[in-house]
Amino acid sequence: MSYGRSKSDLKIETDQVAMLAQMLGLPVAPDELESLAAALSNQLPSISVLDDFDLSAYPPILRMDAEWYD
Amino acid sequence: MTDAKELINLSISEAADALQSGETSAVALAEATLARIKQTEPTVSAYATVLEELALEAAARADAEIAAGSYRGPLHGIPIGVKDICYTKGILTEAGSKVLEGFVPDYDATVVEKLDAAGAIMIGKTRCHEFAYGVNTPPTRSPWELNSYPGGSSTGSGVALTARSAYGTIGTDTGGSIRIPASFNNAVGLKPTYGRVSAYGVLPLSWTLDHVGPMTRTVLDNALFLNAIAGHDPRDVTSARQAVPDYADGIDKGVAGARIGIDREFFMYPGVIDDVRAATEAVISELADMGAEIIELRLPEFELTPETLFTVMMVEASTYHRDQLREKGHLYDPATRATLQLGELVPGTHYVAGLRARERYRSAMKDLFGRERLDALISPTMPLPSPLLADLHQPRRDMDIGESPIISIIHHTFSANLGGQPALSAPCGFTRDNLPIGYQLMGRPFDEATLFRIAYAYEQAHDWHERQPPEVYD
Repeated sequence: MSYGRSKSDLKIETDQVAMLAQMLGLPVAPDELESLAAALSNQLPSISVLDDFDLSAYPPILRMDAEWYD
Repeated sequence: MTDAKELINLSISEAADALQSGETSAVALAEATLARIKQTEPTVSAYATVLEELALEAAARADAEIAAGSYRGPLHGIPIGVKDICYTKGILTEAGSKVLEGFVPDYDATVVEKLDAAGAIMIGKTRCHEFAYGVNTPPTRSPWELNSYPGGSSTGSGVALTARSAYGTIGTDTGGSIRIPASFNNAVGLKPTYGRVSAYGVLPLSWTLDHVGPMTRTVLDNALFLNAIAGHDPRDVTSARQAVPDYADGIDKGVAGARIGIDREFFMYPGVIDDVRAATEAVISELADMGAEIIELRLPEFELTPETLFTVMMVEASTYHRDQLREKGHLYDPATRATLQLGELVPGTHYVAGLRARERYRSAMKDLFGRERLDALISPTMPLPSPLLADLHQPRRDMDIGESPIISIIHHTFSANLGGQPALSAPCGFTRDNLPIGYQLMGRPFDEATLFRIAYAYEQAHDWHERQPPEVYD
């Protein structure tokens, strides 16, 4: 399952996914590679929806407060 | 009051009144509920585990306490179900997964402790999607349409309410998992503010998005339930210190002057079917007639919520399951395993982009509530009624919008998880095929009381919540 409303021509090959999985130690059976490559091809471009929004003012910062000793 | 059918149809508040007045007993409520479970479970399978002996013992204790004048409150002696991702000491907790087959925790989740302290009777553990991920579908079925998707991931918690095999249930909600089954099963479901209800002892799906909340048959019951489970918990680092009000206090004060916003461009998008659109518009119109002010507005940031939440949730879920996937990967349902694999392959830059987008969304939502002086936002809970299971992952047959029913289902619910604000789903009608329709209210952080007040006012004018599915049980 993946969530991507954007259309993209990205096509990740199964051998690329196999290599990545091997590097990560991620168990992926040979018969799972094709669907995983398809899901990743769909998922990765989905983040492009954020291109319509300026995120420059929103760093993922640590926020501190003064209430440590309440 | 001894008629079993009459007993199982009581709301929590009605049952509490009957217990206090001596019209019934906790044992009678438990026995009626257990008999109903025996009747309905072969068809709907809402429960992973039924606790007959423990429930009857607890009910007898409750009766003794009430008789002795030690009444603990509206949940005392009331049979409830708990989603099977909540740890329960000495009781099987499998989270719908073979990975946890036979697992018995040695402590209770805080929410279970609090329900026990309130005197509630845990009648069983309700079924859910594997680890609440919502990828596979458990064997649970909704009596409204046995071939349809019953909602999830708090599937059994929703179905037990509509099957009248629990008076209230605990659900969890990471992207809609309380509100979706509530809407599809004609129930009331609240995703409280992030941190309002402790998540200690609840198996995580996505730490920054997970919420624990009450599911009930009426709005008042939901408020009473939240009273029992809300509050700070030092064992949960995400738990809020905000004071807990009495959520039932002032629930009947009406909606006059309430400012309720609607973003029709997002929440009435083309994926919303006509019956749902009409039912929600009727709620809006009626609330306006009751004195609420309806504010037309537009928040462009709603558009970033589905992809953002999905990115954050996938990566966090895969992080939690990383070791287990390597040790017991073969025990996961193939669909869950595939999604966990996918989450590991999403780049860190995407995750951070998701966190930044969430901050922009939260900030925009806060500004919107301030600028418009809003009390709540309103929308349909689901764009469509419960779809057929066979159609769940296929392109929608009713309209050409390039998405499957499962994607439509999460379109309206994700934003409240992303922003952490409270969101409530309550019944507002039926489709022409007699499937339940729910509407959603989203509110200010820690202002669940206002959502209850609005939903209560609407509920008083209707009997949607009392309607029941066909008796499909053999």
